[in-house]
Amino acid sequence: MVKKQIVGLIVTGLITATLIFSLSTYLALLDPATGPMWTSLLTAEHPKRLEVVLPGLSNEVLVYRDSWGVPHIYAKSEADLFYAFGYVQAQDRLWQMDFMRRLCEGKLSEVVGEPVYEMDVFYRIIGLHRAAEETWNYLKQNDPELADLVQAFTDGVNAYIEQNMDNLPLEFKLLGYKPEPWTPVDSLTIGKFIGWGLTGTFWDLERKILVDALGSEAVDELFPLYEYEMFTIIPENYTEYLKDPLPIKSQIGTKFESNKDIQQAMFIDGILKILRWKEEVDKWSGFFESIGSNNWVVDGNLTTTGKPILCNDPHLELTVPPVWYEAHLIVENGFNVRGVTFPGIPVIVIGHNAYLGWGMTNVGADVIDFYYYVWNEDETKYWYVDHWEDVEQVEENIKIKTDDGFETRTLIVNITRHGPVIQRDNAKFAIRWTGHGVTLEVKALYLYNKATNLSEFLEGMRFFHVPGQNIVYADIYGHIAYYPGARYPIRENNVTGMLPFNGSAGEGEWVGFVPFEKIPHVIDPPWHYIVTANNRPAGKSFPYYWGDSEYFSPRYRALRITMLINSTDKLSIEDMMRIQGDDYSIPASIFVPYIQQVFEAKTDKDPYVEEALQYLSNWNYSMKKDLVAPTIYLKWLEIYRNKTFGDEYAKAGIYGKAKLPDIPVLEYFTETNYQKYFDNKYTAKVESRDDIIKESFIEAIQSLKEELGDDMSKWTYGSVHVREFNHPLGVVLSWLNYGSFPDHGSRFTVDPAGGYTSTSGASWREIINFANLSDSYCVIPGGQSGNRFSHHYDDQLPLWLETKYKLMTFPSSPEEQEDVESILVLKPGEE
Amino acid sequence: MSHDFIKKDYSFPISLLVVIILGFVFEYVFHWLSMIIAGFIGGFLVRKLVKGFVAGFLGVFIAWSLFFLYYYVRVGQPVVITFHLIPELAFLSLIFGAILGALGGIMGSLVKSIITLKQSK
Repeated sequence: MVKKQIVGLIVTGLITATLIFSLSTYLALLDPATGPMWTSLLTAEHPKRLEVVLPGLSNEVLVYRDSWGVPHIYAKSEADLFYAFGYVQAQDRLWQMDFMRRLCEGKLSEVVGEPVYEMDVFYRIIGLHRAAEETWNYLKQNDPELADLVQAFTDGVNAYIEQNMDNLPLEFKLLGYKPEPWTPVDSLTIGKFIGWGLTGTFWDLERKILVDALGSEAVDELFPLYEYEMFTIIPENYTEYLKDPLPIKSQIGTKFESNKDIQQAMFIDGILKILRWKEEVDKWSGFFESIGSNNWVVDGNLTTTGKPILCNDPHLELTVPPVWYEAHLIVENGFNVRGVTFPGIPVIVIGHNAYLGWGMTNVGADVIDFYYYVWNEDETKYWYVDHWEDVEQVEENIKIKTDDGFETRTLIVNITRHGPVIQRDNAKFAIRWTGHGVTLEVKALYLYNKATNLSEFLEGMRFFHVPGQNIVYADIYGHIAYYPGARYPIRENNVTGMLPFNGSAGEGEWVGFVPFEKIPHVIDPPWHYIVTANNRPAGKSFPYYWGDSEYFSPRYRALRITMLINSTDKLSIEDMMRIQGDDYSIPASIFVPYIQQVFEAKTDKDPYVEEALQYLSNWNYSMKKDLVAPTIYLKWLEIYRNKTFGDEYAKAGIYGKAKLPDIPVLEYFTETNYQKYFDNKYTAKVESRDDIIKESFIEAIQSLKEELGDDMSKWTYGSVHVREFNHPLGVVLSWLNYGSFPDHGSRFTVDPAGGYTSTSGASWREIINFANLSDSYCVIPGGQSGNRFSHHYDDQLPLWLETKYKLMTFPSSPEEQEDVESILVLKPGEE
Repeated sequence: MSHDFIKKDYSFPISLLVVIILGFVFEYVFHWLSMIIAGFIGGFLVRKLVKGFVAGFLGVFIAWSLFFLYYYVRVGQPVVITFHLIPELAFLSLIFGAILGALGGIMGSLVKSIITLKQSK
């Protein structure tokens, strides 16, 4: 009898041991007392009042968080302010900060493993961290006061890390690592990363593939130097003063065939591999083609308030947590600025202070070039004009997480006089980019934060080197301005930089940057407003090459905003909100009449085609989620573009390997009935534009029937078009994502939402009212907190999805602060 | 441990109460592994295997539920967000803990049976 019990005991013991052994990871994770799943709950919300003693402070700092979790930091000195800013950013977004620095410093495989190794290699080659290091050394030597502030921010982050090493955000515990101390170089590298994301395009290489396959004449037609229908930020007649006798010279004459070695270097498959590599890296980094932004400013002559109103919505990846962190920084009798920054950056990037405000959109200019060379046999030297030059070699050690621990691989980065060398197979290019070396955006932003008038602001702009931003400005005195200050390279002989240069021949050398005064700008324009939406800043009168048409966004968003501004005598804050949420599609208003015209004469129409045409004729061109017409139009456009250009690409063997011409080119060819590309090269018949329009429409209807069913009333745009917000770990833990939401908009609407699953869009919406700064409005797509269990994780998302706003309060002292959810008192002293 | 304590077959509610109290205290002081001990002690109070299993399972389930209640009292809303967002994970936590308690409970009952059977021989 006892024997039975003993056997039972042994069996139960074995089951228990097996269970513990196999499930210990999950049990440890889910344990209520110590498991990170549940202990994260304890730090999810900030306590109503918390006092923390910090050794690095000189005086007490008060942090009042409002009901949206936005910190208003009141300090007595700038050093304390920056220290506290580092501390509160870490409180809310530490894992995001760590993830960002690992991503851009090429250290992600240390915590994720092999899948991201190639991305690390890419960033180690580009060398954002090396450029940040140079910048930091420069700052320490030449601007020690600012360097001290960046160091104070760093100390604040580290104070938080040290105090909370046992209570880190959930993501650290899930990935099983702890953060290393923060450094000033980490902050500066993140800054470089933002610059790289907005300017580090490899279009020159892709254009090279197109030129090889289609010929330069065709490529010049399909991707023209200037947009066919330009709508510049500054009207052409207003930039006459910029004219210069120096003509822009085409770069097409570059001879690739001059040397056998060079031909090998231009091995197309290698270039394609580099492009695919970059594409993968961009996906991880959140850089997408549809990234763009809007900003506009209207002076008091056109507003109901009698003072300027400034609006900005930068379009970036819709990440979880959001790419922006909002804060209000105040020093008694001094610094008083509110706005957003990227987590890890110690200053406000977009916002306003007590005197002025500013908004940014990306200029998108061509500030990156590629150089190929003749190499010696062991590839340690390259030919330059008339002599061999040694490559500089930098050793990069990449630590990779493995099943057994870590493995370290050494990467040798070759650097020529032009920059770091990227290589796949025989395709080998040095990259020259304005962000390499010392750049001083942090100084520019610091000066923006403190400026009290336009001239101080512009002094700061002289230090903003990369990425070139269309900055619109307004102040309480009533001035408005536009200035896209940055470094724009001038190539020797003023040649374009649209294709890789023969570095060995000394081609494409940068001989300087466009002088600050020569950069097109406008101050208090007589037409009383300025609109920018990544469209070209100035037209052909600008005497330098800024990039071909691919570098600038089509005119649609800028044109629509301008139309809306001009449609009202006096604009109110509410009007501005409506403009930011506008979903009217200008391309649809241009293309749809062509479809209708093609089918007008046809009497034996398919009933489905008839019904679809009915939807289009009742449409006002708004890309609203409850309408059917946008679904039909977008599907048609996709097929029409493909049918127009796909056959030429397929014949040349590059279909799917290089991008198709963009919608404005298709629009121009449609409007001018440019026959050359409409004919299908695979048929004997010569197709006309109208044939292709018709075929595409019938095919689109058929395709939608297969995809969405026979009932056309169910083909609503919202059923195929969603916004998606993903956390970097959301693939595995979907509850970290915000989710998917049917939404309005398309790539070319003012409120943009490109693609069927849109993961980029307005990353911050601000409307600054210079008649009363406290009556300004803003919203981010998500929330302030990076803690999944905090109610500030996504509390602004419902507002954002409906283009609603929260008040952007501007109390200048703790006494004025009416909305207080929690108070953090940071006290100086020894811990 | 007195001879009476070893021999005595306590009622199920007492056994359950002991597991709940020990489950909560052990969880607070130690961690999840200690739930086997809490279950074992509860199971040791009853001789029947089924009672030991149920006392261990239910006891730890309730003890950990109380732990979540304690979190709710401390931080409030985040707990509501969590249970709304990922109820399956909260439930999984409770089930994992309860299984550990149940296995401990079975072992406790078995040990008690072995001892009492040996003594009765």
